[in-house]
Amino acid sequence: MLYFDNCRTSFVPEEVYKEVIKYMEKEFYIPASFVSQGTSIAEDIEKAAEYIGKTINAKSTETLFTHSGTEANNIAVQGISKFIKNKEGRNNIIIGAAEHPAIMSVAKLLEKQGFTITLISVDKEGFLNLEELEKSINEKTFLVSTTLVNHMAGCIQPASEIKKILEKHEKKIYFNLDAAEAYGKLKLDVNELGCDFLSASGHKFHGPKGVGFLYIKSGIKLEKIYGGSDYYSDLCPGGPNIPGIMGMKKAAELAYQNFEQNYNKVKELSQYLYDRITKEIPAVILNGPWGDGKRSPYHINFTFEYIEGEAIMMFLDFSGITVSTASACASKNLQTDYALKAMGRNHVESHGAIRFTFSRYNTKEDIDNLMKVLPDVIQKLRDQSTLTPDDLRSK
Amino acid sequence: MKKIQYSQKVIDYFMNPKNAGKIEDADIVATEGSPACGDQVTMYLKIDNDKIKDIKFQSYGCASNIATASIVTEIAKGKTLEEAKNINWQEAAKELDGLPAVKIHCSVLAVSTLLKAIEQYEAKISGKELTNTVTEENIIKKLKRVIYPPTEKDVLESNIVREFKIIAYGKDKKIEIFLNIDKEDEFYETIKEDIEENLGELDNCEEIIFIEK
Repeated sequence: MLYFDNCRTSFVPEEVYKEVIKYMEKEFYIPASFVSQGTSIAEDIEKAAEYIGKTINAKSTETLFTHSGTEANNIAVQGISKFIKNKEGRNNIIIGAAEHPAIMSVAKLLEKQGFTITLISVDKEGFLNLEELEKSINEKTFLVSTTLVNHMAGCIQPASEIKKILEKHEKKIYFNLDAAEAYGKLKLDVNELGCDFLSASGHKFHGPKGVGFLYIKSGIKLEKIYGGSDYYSDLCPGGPNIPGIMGMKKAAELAYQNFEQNYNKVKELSQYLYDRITKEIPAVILNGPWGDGKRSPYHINFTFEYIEGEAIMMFLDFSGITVSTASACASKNLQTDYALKAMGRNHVESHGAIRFTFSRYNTKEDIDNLMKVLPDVIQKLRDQSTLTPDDLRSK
Repeated sequence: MKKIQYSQKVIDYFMNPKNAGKIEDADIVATEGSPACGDQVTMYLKIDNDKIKDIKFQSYGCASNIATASIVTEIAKGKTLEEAKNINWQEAAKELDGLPAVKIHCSVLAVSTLLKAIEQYEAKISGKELTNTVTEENIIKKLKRVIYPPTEKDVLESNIVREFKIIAYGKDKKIEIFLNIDKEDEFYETIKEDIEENLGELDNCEEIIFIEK
């Protein structure tokens, strides 16, 4: 199987699942008491927090393990929102118009609870309009939340510039970054990014599913959004997913082992696929920016004009190749993707968008094998389409 | 958790569709659907002695759009026009061993394209002008094409549209649609867009007004 959907989820290598099994089979206890097994597990969790914290230049006490990236976002966004509203009455949250559902849906939830949500427009490459952001801040604003690497455009939001804007204001404006598609792929330093919260998800960087983490800057208080026993933390109560946490730590260790080398390898792969698609397939549109620093090399998104993405995705799927699409036809409720719409793509351009996302396990050969199939699939579907101009049909 | 999966037959008809393409000297060509909604089908018919001698299709759409258009052309080929008029989306879906609920509209679109082609052909032969104006009959016909996936039935049968009213507005007409669907329903926007697209095709439809639940 050729797999190019690593930003949706990624496979779990042996080193990781062996660690998961270890904490299911032998070290299955929870850090609940003075019992020796509990103490040793508590130490392992602490070491995992220290390690993961270090990868983003944070302390172990600033690293909270959660049951997913979505939960991490909820603990941060709902937690700070409720805390500030109760304490100061500020109730305005600013987010981008093309955010990942992990942020968009939390904002919608809070809107029903009396918060106001300001949506900031994005440009055609998916970057937040910073001028608009600056103008939108009002005396009620207490939080700005965005997706560091956009799930559709792959663009890297200029976090440190956003931070500078927020710092101009007398009253503290908190800054949340969803780094699910950035962690383990791009170098992250919470001080340089200037964020107060940062979340990531284990299964996006070859860790297990059902685990994530949240960076919470020292000194920040959050309202609890859950009730439950606090074996591990009162912000994320209940039994912690210890096999998941330890597996995620192993996945992080693997990701950071040859970080630069992996980054450069994926950058080359990404450029190679970009070059081949633009040379070998006519009428394609790149969604998002291109160039180092602007886009995560782990992410490419192309619209293939005149045909529909679900058909492309399924054709590739039946040929043993996994990609993803933003097409309405592949969505649960048949709605056009709001993120691409926010970037100014029309319906047809959105329907034809295919996302290829890489991992360090992809090879040049994978791309060669993909390109043995992709141009023919596109041509076959174009030959059948009602929209294809005559000059793009097979003679 | 709901499973969304295509049958092997859908996959086969999608990967190797029968009757894909164009008939250059077709007797009638009809198109239904819109690219904005993500699906559009064109059918080309060659008719001899009131029989569908040849039929081909083009499709802009998803896997099931291609598969349903293909199967409908197969079912219709060789049939008389009267026989072909009785083809319905249920039959097409059954021939494909079923469709996921969110894909039933593809089958509806494919059958609608065929019926439109036959209707246009008959009008052409008889010299009668086709009326595609706002009438109760035409509204019902159009609403029957809008499928509410959770019930796998159209919006009238599903009682998603409680009733409708035609408001005369000079030469043009406005249509009031009385909805019976929660705004929270995941298909709320899709259903409204689908109703707008279908009723919008009526020639003198000036405006569609939704009256919420």
